[in-house]
Amino acid sequence: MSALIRTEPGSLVLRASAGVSGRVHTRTILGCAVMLLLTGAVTVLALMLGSVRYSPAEVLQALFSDAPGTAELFVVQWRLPRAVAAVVFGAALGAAGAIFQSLTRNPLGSPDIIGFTAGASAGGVAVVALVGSGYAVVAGGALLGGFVVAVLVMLLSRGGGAGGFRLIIVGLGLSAMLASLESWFILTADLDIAQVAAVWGVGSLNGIGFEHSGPALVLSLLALAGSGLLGRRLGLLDLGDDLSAGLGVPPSGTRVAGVAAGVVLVALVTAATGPIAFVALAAPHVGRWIARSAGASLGPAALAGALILASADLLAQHAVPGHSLPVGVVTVAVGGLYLITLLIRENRKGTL
Amino acid sequence: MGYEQRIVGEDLSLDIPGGEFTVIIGPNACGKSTLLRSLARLLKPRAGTVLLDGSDIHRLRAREVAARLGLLPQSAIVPAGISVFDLVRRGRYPHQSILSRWSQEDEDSVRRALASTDLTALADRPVDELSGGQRQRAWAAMALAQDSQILLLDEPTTYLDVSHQISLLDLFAELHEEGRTVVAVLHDINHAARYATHLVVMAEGRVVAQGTPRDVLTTELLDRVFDIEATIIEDPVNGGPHVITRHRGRLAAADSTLRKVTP
Ligand SMILES: Nc1ncnc2c1ncn2[C@@H]1O[C@H](COP(=O)(O)OP(=O)(O)OP(=O)(O)O)[C@@H](O)[C@H]1O
Ligand SMILES: [Mg+2]
Repeated sequence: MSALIRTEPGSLVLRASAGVSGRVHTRTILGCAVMLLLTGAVTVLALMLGSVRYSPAEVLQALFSDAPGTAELFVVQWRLPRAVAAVVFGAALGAAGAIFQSLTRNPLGSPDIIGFTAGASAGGVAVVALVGSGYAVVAGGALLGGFVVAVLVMLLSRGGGAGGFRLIIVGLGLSAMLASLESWFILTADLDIAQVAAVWGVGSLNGIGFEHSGPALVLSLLALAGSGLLGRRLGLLDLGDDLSAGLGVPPSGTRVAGVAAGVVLVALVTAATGPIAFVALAAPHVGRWIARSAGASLGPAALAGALILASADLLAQHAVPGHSLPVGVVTVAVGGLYLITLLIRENRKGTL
Repeated sequence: MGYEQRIVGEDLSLDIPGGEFTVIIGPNACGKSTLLRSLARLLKPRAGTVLLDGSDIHRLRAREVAARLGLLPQSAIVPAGISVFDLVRRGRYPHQSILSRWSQEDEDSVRRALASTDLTALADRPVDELSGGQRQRAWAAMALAQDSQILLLDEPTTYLDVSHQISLLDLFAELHEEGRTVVAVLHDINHAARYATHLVVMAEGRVVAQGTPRDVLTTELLDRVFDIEATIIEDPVNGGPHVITRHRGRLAAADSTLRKVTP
């Protein structure tokens, strides 16, 4: 196999045998590389810090070769699952956000805002309260909740155009209703179950281990790979229904696949961690800004999501000494500020 | 053919001859765009079929149709931040696959499309920062990059200045001479008369006349379809029919000044 990489002003062109070819903006590659490096750095930092501190060298030694038993225990057994989960789940949330923002043609059209996250969360809490807290059943409940809300949102905001104001208002309304439904489940459940459900309801990576999060991680990676195939179709839909159809991609197919992929991604993550707000909202914007890309840009959004959630979780673990906060608290606090600035900016532009 | 609740045209039978430059004219809302969208497989006719080279277009795969038939819609969404080059590049989608995303052929087509629409210098500019006419040319370039045998163009010249109108129409005429089938909706009757080898006139969802511009364009038809009073003369420069409309308001005004000047 021979490959040829050629630079053009502002972009890289790849031509390889067997018809493999591509063209990407140099700045997008650089931006993605920067996000990858930062995520790597944050992850190493997360493995270093804690009740026992290790140097970067010790961390790498624990990861890639033999290390003293305690280092292995702290770094690989305890801290690694959490760090990996932050990266993978962050990427999944970022990609889901990019998909929904592209489908709704609205920078606010992320699953947190239009109610899918709340739906997945309410579905999860209902299952925890009524059935049990195994990952499979919670994931099932979250998926179901997400899809029910997706259908409801689509039905209620019909006629207002796929994008825009109506969708957001309907989503906000549904989210509020779902939050009260969730409280009701928690209040009516037995105390110990209610406690599990309530903790889950904040969104946290505390105490996550590979035995629990393993399936969620694998499924999220699969769903991420699957939604990667959607990227170019979403890019065509950005140009309008007629152009997309004219180029051989029926818009309804892209919409159905996009909603399905987005809801699955959100539900998989939500079932494992509880609802983590604002990552899906902010990641696509941050990704587009760092990679200086346009349109759906699933890759940059996923990388930004990973970086955001990994950083937020690092903050959650170490911001208050001796206390490990749920990461959902951090993302809500930081994300709330972000949402306000975004609302003001969009309002000025008149896109809302 | 029609939309969910509205029937736009009925009993419409039209044969777009291969290798011709067909121009469709007709008043606003008579169903030209709807016809074009039906021809491009975007709308399924309520009754009847659209045949592409003899086979029902709705039985062909969307992607296959797209490789043979390109559509420039009347309106499209301008995505934020996308450069002209990246936009035109998307026209290559029907020819690409998951692995092959930028072959030499793709590159040649895109560069040719940019050059022939006079956009090479603007290739790196974001589309949403272009003027209406430059934008229109970018969409046209995208349709050209699709390299399809059949081109359906819905008002490709509407926002363009006179020189770009002519150069784009000349380009389509050239493509037609190279053997492609071009179908364009135009509002300028004289452009239609000059460039069409086959002229279709629509009114209220029906085809009311078709044939060569010389046969089709009559003062009686223009009065009936567009409600205009016109004189048709022989185009002294290009040959063929040339329509001169009589401006009722201007005539009256001219009359009154005449009277003032010569009491
Ligand atoms: N998406 C739609 N849904 C319902 N009705 C539509 C839709 N698009 C167009 N129509 C209606 O169909 C009729 C024909 O519209 P069409 O767009 O085909 O007209 P046109 O001949 O292209 O007009 P113009 O010269 O203004 O572009 C009009 O009455 C219009 O209101
Ligand atoms: Mg039209």
